[in-house]
Amino acid sequence: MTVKSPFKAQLSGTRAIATLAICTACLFAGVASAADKPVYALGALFPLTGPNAVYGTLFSQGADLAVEHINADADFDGRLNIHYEDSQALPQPAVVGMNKLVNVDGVKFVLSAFSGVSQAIAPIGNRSHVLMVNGGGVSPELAIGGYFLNDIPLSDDEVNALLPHVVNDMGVKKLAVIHVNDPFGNGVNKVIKQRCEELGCSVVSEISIDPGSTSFQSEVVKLRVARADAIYIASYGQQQNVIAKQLRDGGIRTQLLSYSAFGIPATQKLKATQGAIYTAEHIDYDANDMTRRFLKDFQARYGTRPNYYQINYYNAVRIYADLIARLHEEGREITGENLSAALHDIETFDVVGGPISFRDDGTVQMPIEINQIEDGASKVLKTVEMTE
Amino acid sequence: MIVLLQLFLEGLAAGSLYALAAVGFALIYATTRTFHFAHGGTMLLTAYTFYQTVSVWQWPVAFAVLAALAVATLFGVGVDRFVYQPMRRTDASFLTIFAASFGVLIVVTNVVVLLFGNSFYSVDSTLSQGFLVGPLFVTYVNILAVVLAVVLIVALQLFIHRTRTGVVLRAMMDDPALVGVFGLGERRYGTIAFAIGSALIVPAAILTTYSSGLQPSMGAVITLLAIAGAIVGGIGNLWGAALGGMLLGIAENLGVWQLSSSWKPAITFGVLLLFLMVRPDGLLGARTRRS
Repeated sequence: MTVKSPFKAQLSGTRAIATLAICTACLFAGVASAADKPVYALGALFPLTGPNAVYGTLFSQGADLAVEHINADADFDGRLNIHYEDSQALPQPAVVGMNKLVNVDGVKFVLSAFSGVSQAIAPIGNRSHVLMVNGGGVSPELAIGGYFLNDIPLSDDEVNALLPHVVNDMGVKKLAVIHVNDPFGNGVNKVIKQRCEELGCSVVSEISIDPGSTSFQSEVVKLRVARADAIYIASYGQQQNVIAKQLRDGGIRTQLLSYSAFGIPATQKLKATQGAIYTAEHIDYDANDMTRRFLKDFQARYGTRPNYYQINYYNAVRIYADLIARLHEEGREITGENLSAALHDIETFDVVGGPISFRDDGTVQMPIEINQIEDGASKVLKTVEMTE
Repeated sequence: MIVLLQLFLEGLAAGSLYALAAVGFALIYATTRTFHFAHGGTMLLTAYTFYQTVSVWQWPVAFAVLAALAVATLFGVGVDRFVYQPMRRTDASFLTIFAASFGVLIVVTNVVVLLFGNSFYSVDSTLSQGFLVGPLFVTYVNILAVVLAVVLIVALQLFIHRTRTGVVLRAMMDDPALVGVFGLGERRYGTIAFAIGSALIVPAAILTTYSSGLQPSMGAVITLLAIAGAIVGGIGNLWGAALGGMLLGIAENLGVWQLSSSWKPAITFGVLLLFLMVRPDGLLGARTRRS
């Protein structure tokens, strides 16, 4: 009869426990080294719900990919994390979200979108010394300066690029404008009227609509009677699609014009917008390694080419990372004031699409493309270099 | 002049849809004395059902219309049977029932948001297009709106004047309790009123999917328009509700001839306020009482 040694049993049990302990220690060691890295959170005020949620999805795709790349590259001792707050593309929820990001989450850098939202949060950020970057809103009134930056050309640049082409090359003399009644829409309308006057065209109809409206039968009546050579649509999200559809349903075949919001996939695919001409920032898709990497990874993940909104928010996060890296090199604390100072020191940022720099008023200067929608996609008609 | 005429045509079409909603609301209120704020929920569910069946499931339009009609009627009857009737049995006050009705609309709106999101939907069709009649542009949807409103409202009047059920419904408009005393099944006829009133909103819901499109907030908007139309026309008077809805549609479209479209809601409720101050019984309400 063989008796198993109790001592051997005890030893094998001890060995098992020791092995388990060593494995656990290794596991936590790995976790602990990641956890040791400081987290530099940034905030993002995007419409996560509501009729403009489609934009929130687009914006966050760019921002999230940037965070992934930056954390993987580990160019500085730290990692990024985005705290999203739902602005619903409205000023009031945006202010609530911004206050939470600044006072509760303690972020020093916030991504913003939509003109009304950006205008609402800018005073908070300026007061609290939190750097803000808008990559979506285009109202000319966003040339705020201070801690507020725009890495998207504002609509005065877009209108200034488009109207000479429309008037001089296309022969448009009478323009109608249908614009949303908010800071963005009112700002665009003002710039169009000024520029039209300079170029010798006339605005024969200007129609202001509520941001939430979806029924434009009476507006269609007025636009039909105005007999404009072209109609400029200054709206966004679902509403711009509704306007285009109802214009076409109402028998209006006039040339449609718009700005960068017409670049979103839902608008590009709409039957009513085929042939529409719109402006957008020019992106050099072969500018540098960062651009090529971003394009490759974005297409692999989402199965589609990124648009300028996604690029803008990718770039905004990249700028934040560059500022942190600079402050680390200089041994300075990551505060809003130091981030702003670093921004002025660096001057030019190498980002997707090429180098960009900011004017004193926080706006960015870049070439503008004039595009036309054809068969669900855009064709570049012309690229306009913007001068100061 | 052409602008005014065109705006009048648009107002006539919009007013036709408001008239249907107002008549449905007025029928329900007049017979059951229920302020059916959830009437907008009927519109929402009907419209989204039509969209889902036609655009997503690709059903033939006729079947989609039947599905929309079934949903509208079942919802209206369901709210009456499971929300209002139990409350009436416990002698709930007018305000309590109104609050419940409001709650039902909120729930329906949020269910629609959960199922469909906040995005805008519309049904693509040649119906939303149109043609020129001289200098005026007429869409097929607008023609349908006016024709359906006229046919259905006239049919309803014939029904309540020429059929036994209709006579009982008219009796309920005068005195619901007395109808009960005669053993005519006040609850049963109240359910019939809810069914008919809810069914009347189906054309408005379907035509809206073709023209303006759908979004969850439209439920509350149509309820307010239906109430305004019913009050302007004379609460309890079906012809009045039809006229009231029509008047509101025309007024809000003509009103933006010189004003911005942002003024439309102000115009609609300005008309309502004017009637409440100057002629509180509405267009046809006083005449009915005198007769």
